[in-house]
Amino acid sequence: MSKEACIIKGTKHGLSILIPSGLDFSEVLAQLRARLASAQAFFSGATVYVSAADRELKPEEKRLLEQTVEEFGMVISEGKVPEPQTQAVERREDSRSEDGENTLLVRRTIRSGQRIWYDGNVVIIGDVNPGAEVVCTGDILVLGCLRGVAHAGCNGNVSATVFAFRLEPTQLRIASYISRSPDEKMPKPLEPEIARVCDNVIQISAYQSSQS
Amino acid sequence: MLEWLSRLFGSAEHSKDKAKERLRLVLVQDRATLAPGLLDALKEEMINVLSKYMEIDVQGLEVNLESSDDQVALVANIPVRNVKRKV
Amino acid sequence: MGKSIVVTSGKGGVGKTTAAANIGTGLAQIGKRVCLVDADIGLRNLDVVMGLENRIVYDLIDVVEGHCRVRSALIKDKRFDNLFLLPAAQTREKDAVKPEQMKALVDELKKEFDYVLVDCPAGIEQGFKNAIAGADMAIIVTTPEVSAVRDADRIVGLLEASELYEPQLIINRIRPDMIRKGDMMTTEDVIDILAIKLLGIVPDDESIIVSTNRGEPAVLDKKSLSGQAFRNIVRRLEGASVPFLPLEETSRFKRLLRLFNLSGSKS
Repeated sequence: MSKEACIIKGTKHGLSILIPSGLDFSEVLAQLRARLASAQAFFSGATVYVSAADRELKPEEKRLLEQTVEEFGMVISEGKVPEPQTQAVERREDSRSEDGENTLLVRRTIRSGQRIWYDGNVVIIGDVNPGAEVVCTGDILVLGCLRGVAHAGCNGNVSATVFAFRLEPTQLRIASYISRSPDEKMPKPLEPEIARVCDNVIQISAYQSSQS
Repeated sequence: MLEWLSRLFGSAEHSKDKAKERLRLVLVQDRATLAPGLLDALKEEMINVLSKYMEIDVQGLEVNLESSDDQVALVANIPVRNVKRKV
Repeated sequence: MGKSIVVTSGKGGVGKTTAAANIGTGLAQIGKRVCLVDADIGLRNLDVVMGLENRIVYDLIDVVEGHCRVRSALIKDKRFDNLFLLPAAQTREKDAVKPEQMKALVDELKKEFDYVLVDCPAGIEQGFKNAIAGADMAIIVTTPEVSAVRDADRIVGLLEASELYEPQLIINRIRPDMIRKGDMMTTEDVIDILAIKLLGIVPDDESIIVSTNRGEPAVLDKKSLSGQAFRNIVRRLEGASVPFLPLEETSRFKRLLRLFNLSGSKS
């Protein structure tokens, strides 16, 4: 088997492209193109970390690599491949929202013991089960049922909000405010609700599209 | 009905007795399980002691814990080459 | 200086957490200052059984890692001012804590509380080693089944290896009807095999499920038979000599009655 010019690995944080040393750069580039072209739809939109192992990349080579990767609709992420975090945090898509803040889109149900931490907003298409935790610096939107713990604006942003189709959290936190579910049985919410800080307490109200 | 009658007179074996008996057996084995390396250490010391009195075949030496029914026995098979005579 | 007790079993699902919750609540009921510690990191449940799951902000790992002080992680019980819970972390793994750290934590809690009850995870790995690290005494929970008793025996051995001697036994989920028929090992059978001190026997009781659903330990339910069993256990822990619940009586009189009933129903 001939030596592979590049190895593409899926990690929790996106894709990693590893470029081994000892191969001609033009060959590396050609192989990478072939690999990406073979599954363009799959790679499109993914965040990529390029790691060159012990190979020293010239600025021009680096530029060429980035160009190739971007050609296939992928986003190059600066820096090292991040260490795996505590529990499965999947980053499916990393898009820029209008105000320049990052938004993490999660297309699955977050189960007990799983924790999502993100610097930005989090949108979950699925449920957040009891025992699961979503913590972020921005807003939290759950297109499903929120039964676990949600902490929006964890850096102290009191204008952060938590929205869910069914808002039945074990505990809600916005900035440094904490509120917990009442001990008595409550009627289940029947409509989408939004939680925000008003008059120094977290208030939950029915969501109306006219609200900001 | 027959079962009921025999139970009434206490002749049939109850399932709890079976449970107790099986538990006894399994515990005898559990409790006899030695820490890894312990048997080897035992073997080595036995060789040292025995070698004072007789010449033994170290290669053919076998030491094992065997359990049968409700007993555990240390079974050693030690081939002797020559007994040392008192000088 | 209080006493630390670890509640352990080896096998899962025999009722460790329920026992810890009930004993802790029972001790608080008679005025003792009690701290329950959930050592089942990654699979916490004591908070749910106690009905305190919505109050958790910090957990055991936060304390151990120095993110907060013990006081701020302790959750006060709904019913008793002298009962507290230190919850386990749910989003971490067992090896996030070391036995030395657990010991230091339990020692600190012992200064403030009369009893520190540690709910041990199932198994004999890291989580078990952590849970027993600071314990002065062990309570082993088992059920009258071959697998549970076998695991309990293994635990006795492991506790001895860690210099925790004289554990006390709770036999849970006893069914008097099955014992009467000879289809369940009796208390005597189990004690005969394990040869450790009996702390209590708890009947298999539907009210336990009801109380877990509600997040209200059964020990608070005056009518519950298992609640009575746990109240007795609490008194024994406090040194009182309380007779065991008459779950296994097979008096000749009752047998005769049953016999008549049976023959009556057949005719």
